[in-house]
Amino acid sequence: MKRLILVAPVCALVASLSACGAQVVRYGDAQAVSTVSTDFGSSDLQQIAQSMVDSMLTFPPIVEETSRRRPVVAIDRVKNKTMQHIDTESITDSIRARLLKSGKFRFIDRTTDSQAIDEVRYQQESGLTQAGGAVKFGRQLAPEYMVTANFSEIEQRNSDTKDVYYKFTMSLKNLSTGILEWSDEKEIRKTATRSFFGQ
Amino acid sequence: MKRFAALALSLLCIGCAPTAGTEAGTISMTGLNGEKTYSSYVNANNSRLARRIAVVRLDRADSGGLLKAAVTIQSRSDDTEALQYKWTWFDSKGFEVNSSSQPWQPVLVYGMQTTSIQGLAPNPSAKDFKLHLRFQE
Repeated sequence: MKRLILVAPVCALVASLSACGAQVVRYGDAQAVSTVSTDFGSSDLQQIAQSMVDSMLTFPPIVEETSRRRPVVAIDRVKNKTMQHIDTESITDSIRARLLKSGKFRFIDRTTDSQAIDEVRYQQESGLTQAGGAVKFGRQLAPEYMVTANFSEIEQRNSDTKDVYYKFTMSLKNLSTGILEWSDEKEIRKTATRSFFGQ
Repeated sequence: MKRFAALALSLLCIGCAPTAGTEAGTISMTGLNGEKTYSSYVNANNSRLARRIAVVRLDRADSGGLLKAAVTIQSRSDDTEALQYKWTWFDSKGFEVNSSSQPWQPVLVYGMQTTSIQGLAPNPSAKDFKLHLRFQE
């Protein structure tokens, strides 16, 4: 009986501790500022995309150029010069989506060209498409501008502090003249400090 | 020992306390004619924030058909305030434009500093705006 009296509270304690350790899943705000670590995160991506698009769309020569027509633009891969593995295509995807939604530019997407070629070839050769209705090769618009970007970081640390400086540089190049029509930088500094409680 | 335990617990509570509250607050502008409320354009989620930050200027302009807004805020505190802001854009009928792609962005406001927060509407349908401010979580 004595043993039972001793074992019961221990079982209750174990049960309560295991309940404390249970995983809780909930939805969060995808637009919230994330400060989990100094690594490149969702907030950095959103800040860069917002800043670059706002800067490009308010630059006076670009405002003038896009007031009459919607130029066709190609977007190049970001040169990732950081030490981190970053999905840079995600950054350019966000920038392209925001620029497209502004209604000021049109984009070509080279990443889906092979699928497009397969589809056009299928339309022409399968015999399923209406006569004369198949899309023809050689009618795509050539981009007039190209968006290029570099992403770099400088990291410094000591025993208590880690400081990471990110710099994202983006340019808009006129493909026929070779001139950079616009360029801007977005700088981000993230600092992690070891707190008194080791968090 | 008991006293030490109590002190440690109170320090832990301070460390865990959320900095951003949910108490509603309106932000105001100090002008020659007295206080003017700007709650229709600027929303602060916290009355402490509304006391520490004042809106000193509101500007809006057209940039190639896109609405451009600038809100100049001034710190009324000696401390550096780590804030976050977010723009909400509305069309001519009051519907929110592109609500899912407006991120919260961090901004540091140093003691007594005046700083301008600028935003550009995501597309030409946006005709009005609101700036949300909160303390960094």
